[in-house]
Amino acid sequence: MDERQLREALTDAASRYEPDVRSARRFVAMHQERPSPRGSTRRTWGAALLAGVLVVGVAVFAFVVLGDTSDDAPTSASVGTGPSAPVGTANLSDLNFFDASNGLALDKQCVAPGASDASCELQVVATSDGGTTWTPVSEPLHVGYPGWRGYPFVQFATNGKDGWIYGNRTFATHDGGNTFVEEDLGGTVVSLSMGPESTWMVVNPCAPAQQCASSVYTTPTVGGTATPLTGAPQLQSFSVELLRPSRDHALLSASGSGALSVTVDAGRTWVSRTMPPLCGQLHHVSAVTPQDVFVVCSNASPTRAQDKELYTSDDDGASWSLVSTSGNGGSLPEEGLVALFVAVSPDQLWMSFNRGPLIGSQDGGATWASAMIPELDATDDTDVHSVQQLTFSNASRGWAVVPPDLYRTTDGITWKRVGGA
Amino acid sequence: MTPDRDFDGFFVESYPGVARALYLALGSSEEAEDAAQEAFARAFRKWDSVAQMERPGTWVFVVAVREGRRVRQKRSRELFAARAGRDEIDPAEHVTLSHDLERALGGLSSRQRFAVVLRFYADLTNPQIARIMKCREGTVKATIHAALGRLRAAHLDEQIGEPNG
Repeated sequence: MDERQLREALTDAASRYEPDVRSARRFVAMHQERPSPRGSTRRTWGAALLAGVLVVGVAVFAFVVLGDTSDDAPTSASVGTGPSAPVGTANLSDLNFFDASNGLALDKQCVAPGASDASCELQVVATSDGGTTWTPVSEPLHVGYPGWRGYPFVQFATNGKDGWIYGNRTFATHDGGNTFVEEDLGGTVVSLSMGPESTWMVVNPCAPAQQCASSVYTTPTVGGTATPLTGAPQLQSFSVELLRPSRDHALLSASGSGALSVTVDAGRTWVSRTMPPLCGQLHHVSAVTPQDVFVVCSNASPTRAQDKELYTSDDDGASWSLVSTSGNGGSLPEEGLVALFVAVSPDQLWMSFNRGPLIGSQDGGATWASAMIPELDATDDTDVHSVQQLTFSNASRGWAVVPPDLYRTTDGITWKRVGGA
Repeated sequence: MTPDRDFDGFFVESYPGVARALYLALGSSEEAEDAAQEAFARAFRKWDSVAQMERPGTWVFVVAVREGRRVRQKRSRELFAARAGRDEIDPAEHVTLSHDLERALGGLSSRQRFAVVLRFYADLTNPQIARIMKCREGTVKATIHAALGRLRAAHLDEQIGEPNG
């Protein structure tokens, strides 16, 4: 038996084996939803209207979120009932760290059967050891998305006490994730930025394909009613990014369109900025301070490679300087489409791609080097890992979600895996 | 690929191939289907992100192989424990490949067997196998080299050549 014969023998043996596809499909169907960690029966959303307040044309309804085991209840909920078994990192998203050790994240598992409405199991989990172990804060929320056949948009932002699970449906917590109350802002919250006093939300009232204009609302972070920022630009995009590098300063951008607007008076007035003339498409904006704004521009190539340019501005986006490019010997890689971009400090920047390495710069973007995360450093088609989120509690401590693993840096340079799936 | 891609279509298209590769690597249809089912269940739970991958089949294959290795290790521990407890174990219970092929592969360690199947059945390169098995490329080369050496030593595969990958 030579190598060819070994291949043939393996192929022949495989072809004579008929897997039980039907049984396997049943198994997968049975495991579409995780059982409740407390072994309770299947929970659905049970809703009770607590209060409805009409605020400047926007209906804000608050729903009491109550545990309910009945199948016909339209909504259900979660009340903290004590510690549960640790969960893995496989489904972690939206990490929020408040110091080197303590953080909250969302364990998110969504299904979109196609023939019926999408649904998600959402559970706030906490760590007190820098991400090595995570335990549920409360029972999971089972959220249905009526009429939504694709995968719903779900994000989580928190300061440890106040927070929002936002997206197609939006829920607020003011007790560290123990209980949530639904808030209806009349559309999908496509971006949210929390500040110490106020939290801003960008709301789009339509489905993504309909290209409706978005609106910006502000609400007290500790809880209260949402009011619109009437002077804010109404961007016709679902890919809107809202950044607030200081209390009164904010940048509002729409990926792809090149629209970038700035306010320096807490949203009362806004100024539209002109992007650099060679910027093909604005894709990512990050701001450390109003004097340290970075944008990543790129072409719209759907292929593996993508031209990239990094610009910086020290005057709120009024003028731009080219820092680095991917072409002509530039320091940015041509391979990969930019997925995430974070400016942690004026010098320290991080960028990840749909495939390939996480790269970092320690000199304001002039030069870049791989973070040497093994699962990301290969670039061929078998490597399907990518960074899903990057977050930092300060310039030296950061976390990278690389499903099913979580990586951490404690020096702002090197990354090590923590925890496990 | 869009997030709305039909999971059922993906499942029907991809499941048999993944299960067959695992069957060869594990030598047991039961273990192969356990691992394949778990991998596809994970793919379904994470379908919102998996569906957006350029090649979701590759993702599920990688997960399945890793799950297969985990299943094999778990079964090995169970068999060891059962033997320690003097339980009767039928060695043929988990072996369903043809006798000759199983004889050829049965002398290999689990790691060697996975490497051989990924190299000669799945036609993966050594760097690709290294990433799946979470080891260095040199380790893959050494593993396959040792596997082929064992096959030769057993006088079962005297003319097997070295892989080029």
